[in-house]
Amino acid sequence: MDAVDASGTATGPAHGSDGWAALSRLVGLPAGADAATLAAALKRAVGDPALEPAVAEGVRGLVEDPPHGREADASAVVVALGARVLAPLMRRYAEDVYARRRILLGAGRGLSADAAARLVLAASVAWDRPCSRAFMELLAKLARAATAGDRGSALAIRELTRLVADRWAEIAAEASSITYEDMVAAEQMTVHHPQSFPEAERLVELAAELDTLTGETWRCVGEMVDRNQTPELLAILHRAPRDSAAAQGIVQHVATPARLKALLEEQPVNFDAVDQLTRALGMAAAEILLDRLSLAQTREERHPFVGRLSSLGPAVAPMAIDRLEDPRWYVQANMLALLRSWKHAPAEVSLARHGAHPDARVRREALQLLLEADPERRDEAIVLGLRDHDPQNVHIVLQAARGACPPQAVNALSSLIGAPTTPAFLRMPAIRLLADIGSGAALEALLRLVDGGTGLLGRKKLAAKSPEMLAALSALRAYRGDKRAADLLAAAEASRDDDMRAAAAGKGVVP
Amino acid sequence: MSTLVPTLLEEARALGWIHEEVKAGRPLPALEAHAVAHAVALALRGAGPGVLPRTAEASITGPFVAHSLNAALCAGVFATALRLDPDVISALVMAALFADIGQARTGFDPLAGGPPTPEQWDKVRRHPVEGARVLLQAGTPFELPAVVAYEHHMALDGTGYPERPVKRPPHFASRLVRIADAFTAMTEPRPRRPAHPPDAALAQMDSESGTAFDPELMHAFAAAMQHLPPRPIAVE
Repeated sequence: MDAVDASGTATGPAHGSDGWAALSRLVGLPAGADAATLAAALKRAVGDPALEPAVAEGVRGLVEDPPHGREADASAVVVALGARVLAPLMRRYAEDVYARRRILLGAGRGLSADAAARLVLAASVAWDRPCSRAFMELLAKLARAATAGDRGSALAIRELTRLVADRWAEIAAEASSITYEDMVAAEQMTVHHPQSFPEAERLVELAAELDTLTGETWRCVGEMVDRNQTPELLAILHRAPRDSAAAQGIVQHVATPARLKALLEEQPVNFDAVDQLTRALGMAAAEILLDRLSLAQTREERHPFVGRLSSLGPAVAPMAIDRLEDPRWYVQANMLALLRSWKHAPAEVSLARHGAHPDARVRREALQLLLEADPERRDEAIVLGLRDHDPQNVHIVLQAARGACPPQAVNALSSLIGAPTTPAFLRMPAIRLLADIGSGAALEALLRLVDGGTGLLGRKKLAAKSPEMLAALSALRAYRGDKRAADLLAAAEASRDDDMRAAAAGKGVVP
Repeated sequence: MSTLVPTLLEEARALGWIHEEVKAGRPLPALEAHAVAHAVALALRGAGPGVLPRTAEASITGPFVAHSLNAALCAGVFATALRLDPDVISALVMAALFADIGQARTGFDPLAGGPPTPEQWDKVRRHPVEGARVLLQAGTPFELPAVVAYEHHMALDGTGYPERPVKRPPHFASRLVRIADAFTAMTEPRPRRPAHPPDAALAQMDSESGTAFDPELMHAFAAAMQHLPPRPIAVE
């Protein structure tokens, strides 16, 4: 026998029928001794310093793993020993968390309810785990009922024994000593019926609302995540009170870049859930969101990601700048749009490269960024943008230049106004800019639009009426000090054409 | 209809002690709570079929303990009539037993005096939250009791308390315990009124079937309380 050597020194509990035989021989009985005889001999041996350690180990073996088919005999031994005799034996395991848990689980699993109840009572004394009088009374009552044949009470004792094992064994401190078999055994005693156990969603919701986290909450969280219900989980947490630390803790727990990535791969994207994970991940979300932003090919696709990345702050900018090296037009356009959200125009954004990119959408983003965020390169961007082939880009530049158009833009404006392909909606604001500039070159450009040459009598003629001509005529009012401008305005004022007179008076035609 | 179960004294004593522990701000004594639930289930089995066991007078046990035991017994009888699994019945008994444990934390016993003042009514409305928190903190296996404590004053139509951001149908156990709890409360005497006769209580509850109470469960409950064969019902 491994458990007890020849000198009677305990070396570990023997189990099953070997344990019964070894225990019997230890107290001088034949291997097949009956329960009553064995119990009586064991009682006599308790208190003998030479035998008690081995007796304790032997009884522990009987409790943890009763001989197959003789569980009733093992129970009878425990009952016959009684709490008074069992207590000193159990005291040997007071410091052994692993043994304590094994003993109680074994008692709950294999012994009769009466035996299990007695063992719990003995353990309570031996391990200094006082039980309330209420518990003892109820345990005894259930044990009596179980002995009388009430199966429900027998099951109740088993369950209570397991609970006692959980609560007395300081599981957390010794989690590594809990075997898989223990967990399976404990699980087998727990029936999760839908009528008697709340759904994971309901328990998580309750925990979040009450701001109370338990082990079961985490199990439910894990269950929902395993069922790919992360969005539902996050929706529950989103509804929790704002100050619920439990809800925040769960979000932090489930927030991983991989989960964020998975959420972003769903169609349609659940942005409420994305926002929760983004807030929890902080900068750890940036690369995932940048990956997603990179792929956006329309403004609608891009918009939600720019907003979320922008909210992470300019610390994300270096990552965006790195991605400007990507040859794909939409990646560059998206990164430029993101930089624009912070009004951050780093040197890596180049007019030569991005402002002259073959794709108008990249040029548009670069121009807007420089116009809004880089005063030193603004004028250069305006001149470049006015020569852009894309009308939308030109329109953006015209709007941006209002009120502060650089003088060096006159040629570009003149070319724009004069080009036959220029849409009318661009010409009018371009003429208005010429008026704003107030330079000689701008005056010359306006005069070219208004001046129709000289008549036979040497009087100034006006150019043929057009919206552009009228706009330029009106703009000349800013240059009245110039004789040519004054002559043309006078000619207009004397005109029989109502529009001409109105333009000269600054009425009616406003680009 | 009412039969005194004389063996509930240990249970009543344990429940009273648990109530005092919680009232003192200490955690729910989980072992005792578990044991008392099993013992009540044992009493239920001992009472046998065809009766609705009721505990000793509230004057002996105190109104809270008496009501909790009676509600648990009623829930157990109802669950037995529905032919639910024994494990489910035990769980429902435990849930009913502690559905009102939050009263211990609110500092107001609505069963003891006259109609609540507005301030006291606020405390009454808080007891589901307080109770659910106490039970949830006790860990496994008090999850279902926690849910039931939280939901047992929630009606199917969204009325009741506590208010929730999103209405979710109460759990099956909450709907069942709500019926047992309401019936028990109505058929118990209160300082401000005598006990309602069971038939009158059932009639009043039936008028709220579908709004305050689950209609299928209410139908089955009425049948069970009138010793009619219960109709099998679908359970969500």
